[in-house]
Amino acid sequence: MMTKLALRQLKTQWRRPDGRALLMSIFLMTCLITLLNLTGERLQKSLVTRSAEMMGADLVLNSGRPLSPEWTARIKQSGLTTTQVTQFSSMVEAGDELLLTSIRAVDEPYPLQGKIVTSPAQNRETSPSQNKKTTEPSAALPSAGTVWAEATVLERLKIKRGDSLQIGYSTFTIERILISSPDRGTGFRSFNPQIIMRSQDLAATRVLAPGSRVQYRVLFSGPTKQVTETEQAFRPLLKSWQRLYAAKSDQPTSRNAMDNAAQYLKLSALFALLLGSFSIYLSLRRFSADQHRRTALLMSLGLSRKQLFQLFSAQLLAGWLLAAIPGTLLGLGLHHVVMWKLGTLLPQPLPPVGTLSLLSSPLLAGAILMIAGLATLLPLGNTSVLSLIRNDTNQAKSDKRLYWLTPLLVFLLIALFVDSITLALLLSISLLLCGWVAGLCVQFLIHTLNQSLKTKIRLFPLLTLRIRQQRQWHRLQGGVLTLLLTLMTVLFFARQDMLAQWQGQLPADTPNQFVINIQPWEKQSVTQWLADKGIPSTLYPMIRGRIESLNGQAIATAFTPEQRQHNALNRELNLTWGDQIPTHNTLIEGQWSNEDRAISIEKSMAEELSLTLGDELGFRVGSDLFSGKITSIRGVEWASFRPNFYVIFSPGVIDQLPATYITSFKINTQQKGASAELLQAFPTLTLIDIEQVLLQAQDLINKLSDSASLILLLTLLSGLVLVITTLQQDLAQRRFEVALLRTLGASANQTRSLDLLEYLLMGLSCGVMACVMSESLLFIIYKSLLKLDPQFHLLLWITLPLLATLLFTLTGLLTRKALTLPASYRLLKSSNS
Amino acid sequence: MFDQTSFAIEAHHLAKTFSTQAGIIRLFNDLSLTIRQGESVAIIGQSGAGKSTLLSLLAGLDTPSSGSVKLSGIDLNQLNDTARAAWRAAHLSFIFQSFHLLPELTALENVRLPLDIRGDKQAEQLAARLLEQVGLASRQTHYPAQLSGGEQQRVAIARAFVTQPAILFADEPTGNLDADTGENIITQLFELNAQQTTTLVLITHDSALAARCDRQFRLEQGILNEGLLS
Ligand SMILES: Nc1ncnc2c1ncn2[C@@H]1O[C@H](COP(=O)(O)OP(=O)(O)O)[C@@H](O)[C@H]1O
Ligand SMILES: [Mg+2]
Repeated sequence: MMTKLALRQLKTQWRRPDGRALLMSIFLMTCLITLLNLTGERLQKSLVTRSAEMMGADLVLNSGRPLSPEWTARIKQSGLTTTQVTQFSSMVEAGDELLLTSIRAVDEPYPLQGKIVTSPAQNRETSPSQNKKTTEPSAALPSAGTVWAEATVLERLKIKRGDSLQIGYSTFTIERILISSPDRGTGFRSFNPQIIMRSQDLAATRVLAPGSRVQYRVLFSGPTKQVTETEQAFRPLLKSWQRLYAAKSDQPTSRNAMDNAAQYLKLSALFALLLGSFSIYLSLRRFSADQHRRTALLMSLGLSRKQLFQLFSAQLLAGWLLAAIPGTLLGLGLHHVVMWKLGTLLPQPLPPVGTLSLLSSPLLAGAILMIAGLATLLPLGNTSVLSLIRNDTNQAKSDKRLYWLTPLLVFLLIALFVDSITLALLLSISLLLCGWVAGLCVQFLIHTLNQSLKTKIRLFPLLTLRIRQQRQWHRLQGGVLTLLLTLMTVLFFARQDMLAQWQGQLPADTPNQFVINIQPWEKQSVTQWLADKGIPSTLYPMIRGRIESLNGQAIATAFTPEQRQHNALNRELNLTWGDQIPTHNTLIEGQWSNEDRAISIEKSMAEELSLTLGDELGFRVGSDLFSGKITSIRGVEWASFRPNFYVIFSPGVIDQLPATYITSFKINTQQKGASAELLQAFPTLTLIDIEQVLLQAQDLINKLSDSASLILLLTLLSGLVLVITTLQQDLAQRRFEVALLRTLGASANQTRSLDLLEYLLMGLSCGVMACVMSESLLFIIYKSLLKLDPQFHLLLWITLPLLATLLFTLTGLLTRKALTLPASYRLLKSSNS
Repeated sequence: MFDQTSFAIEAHHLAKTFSTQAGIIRLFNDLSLTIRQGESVAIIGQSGAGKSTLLSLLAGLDTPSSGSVKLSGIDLNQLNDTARAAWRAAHLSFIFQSFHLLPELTALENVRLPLDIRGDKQAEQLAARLLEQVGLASRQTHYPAQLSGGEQQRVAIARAFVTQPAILFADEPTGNLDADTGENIITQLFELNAQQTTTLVLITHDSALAARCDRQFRLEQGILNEGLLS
């Protein structure tokens, strides 16, 4: 029967609006946190921390140049199983279709860890003796003259398995479709559609030439101890173009886009957690206020504190089960949707969903619920039967320590979850601060709006009273709603404007084809070919080199530590030479000079490295050392899709160094076949279709921001639940006030108009405030982050206040219950609601 | 059961003061009262006289500013919180002005609730019998919302008696009911009281009801006078 009481109590209580708000916030919280947690973790796992299965080895040596004989010897000495991989980007061709792909030329054994999954599956598992008899080598790798390619390659080239495609001068048959493979390489290489071929077929394609961007990798695998020894032995020997990655231990050295995404997920998770905890706490508070009388009664009937504790715990537990399990399941489902959307952007196979991280969000919600629940419900044990005799509604004396302990504990839990106290603290404080300021502004707006109604409506005095009474709740609701609307708006417009301006900014003659890897001996004929087609273009020589010194001083002493982080000092730069500044650059300072050893450098690099006219930069290309004196500084439009360089030499300094040529041009729709023809004529050129790249980027942005929108939408829902909870906090008082007004002669219509007016003012103020905040935020983001021209969004100023008003009025009206006159009397008479 | 003393309630030199922002409210200064076991006692007085406060002192719900209260020979204020609550649960029952039934439980379930809390195996039969005695046998499965005010208070009376308390405190049990219904309720209250020989402390402002008790006290200006008339 006690269990029956508990169950009955549960049933009625979860039917109450605050009970539902509690369930809803737990549900949304677990759903969101599951989604964010799983997504964040798997992004991190698949992109940041490398596992042996994904690297295809226990240790990987990455090199921008072919291995020197010393290295080959060292690798042999290591005693580990090794294999070499050459990875490069290249155009492939089938019929009229072209595609930029990432090609790996590999040797057996490959990979050393993990496995390649293909369709149809390779028969590596069948006993090797069978394979030996056939002339075909083991099917663990493509047969000679064939390749394995990802399904995207086939789709984009409009071919099937068994068809052939062209890489450089060679034609290959597609033997299998590549479903997933370890060792995709790093950076943007890993995003391109992948092809695997045998390294013995590589030379015949003639795609690799001096200056091509190639990554030479050595994979190692063996006993852990030996791998660690090798790693330690190799690290000090690494050259600047070499990187060593060990499975698992490697943490990212620099923050990349996906790391930012993980950060964004953490931020969202934190926001959701704060919102959720707040709603849980508030609905429990409201709930416990109503439990006061009931608890007193049960205790007068002999219920002990222990039994009371059990009753409450059972109730909280049941509520948790009811909300957290569906929440987790929905979160898991949404996570799969997001992963499926991001699918092609992520290296496959994805790491499996971790059971622990799946469990962590419902457990977290449970812990928050228990902390907040017991803190608000346990003091009820102090209620005395006295309150039933006096018929008073005095709150049980709650422990002041509990009052402070609860948010502290919840905060600690959150910090633990987000894995950083500083981040949690920083974000919580800034969110609270922004929310508080927004809340104050909203309250002020409501006040001003109300004053403007002074002579216009009869309800003005009542409305003023109401607004004064509700001001603290208005502040809270205003803060939360404004913040949420702002975040949503910013995301929406940032994406919109970014895509629109990207496309809109480009002048009509912007090149849409980029060609790299033009060999010196091809320069004349390529130029001629383009001229014959009537396509204007300029070919620029490109030489890869590093900056070594400034005014005779080595980098280490010439630049500050921050400056030394600059890209230009950390990788090989594309250098060029010419007898004038390219027409698409603008001269900013100094003069172009054709003197010996004069250089022109790019503006932002000059600023960030504090370079001025007259400075002398030392360069190294291969083993050659030379220097140049800065005679001019140029402005470069990096997004112009024309060959752009940080450094341009005057003629005579680097002309003799091995160079490849690079150019870009525009072909219009009538010349569509031109690029295919160019590749037929010069098979080793790498041609990049900019429109295709842009489409891919757009796709990426769309997919990422779609996922972000989904997360924000769920967060907005949690915010609405919080608003509903706050609307219910003083529901009793509101009902009492309405009842009083009714018995004093106000019509049902009037009391409704009063509520409606309040909601309208509230929604409108939130909307306007959100407009102000979004526009300022967008302005800052555009100026400093996206480098777009800030613009005024008229649409925003119309829709947002409308939307906010609608949202708030609907929510308000949904939670409001009309009071009839007799009900009003009853309410006032019993006065113990 | 309590052979140490034949007194159900012994209150000696009770004083109660409240300090409020407006100053100190002195409800009574030196108030003594003894009630024998099985006796029914009515306390009448005007609203605000301090009747409810007195009742809460007698029931050990509140501590007096000075003086002592013994229930069946035990000074509740000497016990710790848990022991006091346990003793109260075992020996006392209350009937309130607003009936305080749990809305999600049927009449029968409301009556058996105190027995269920104690884990009594015979809860069902005992509750059904008491419900029958207050004349609500046919309303067992009805919910409070389906009962009139008088019927609800009868359920509350059945609930108060079902644990066979030593002492029953009733604070204006008819306060929310019309005169006839109130009369009815009181009749049932006295019937059950006579059957179970419960000690009854009844607070009311209705002298007709008070007259039906064994003894009557008037609480006026902090002084307790025996008898109905001043
Ligand atoms: N906790 C308290 N604090 C201050 N004043 C109180 C408190 N409890 C009761 N009172 C005051 O004591 C007086 C008597 O109250 P009460 O015992 O409820 O009277 P009665 O039940 O006779 O109507 C009232 O004036 C009331 O305001
Ligand atoms: Mg009273």
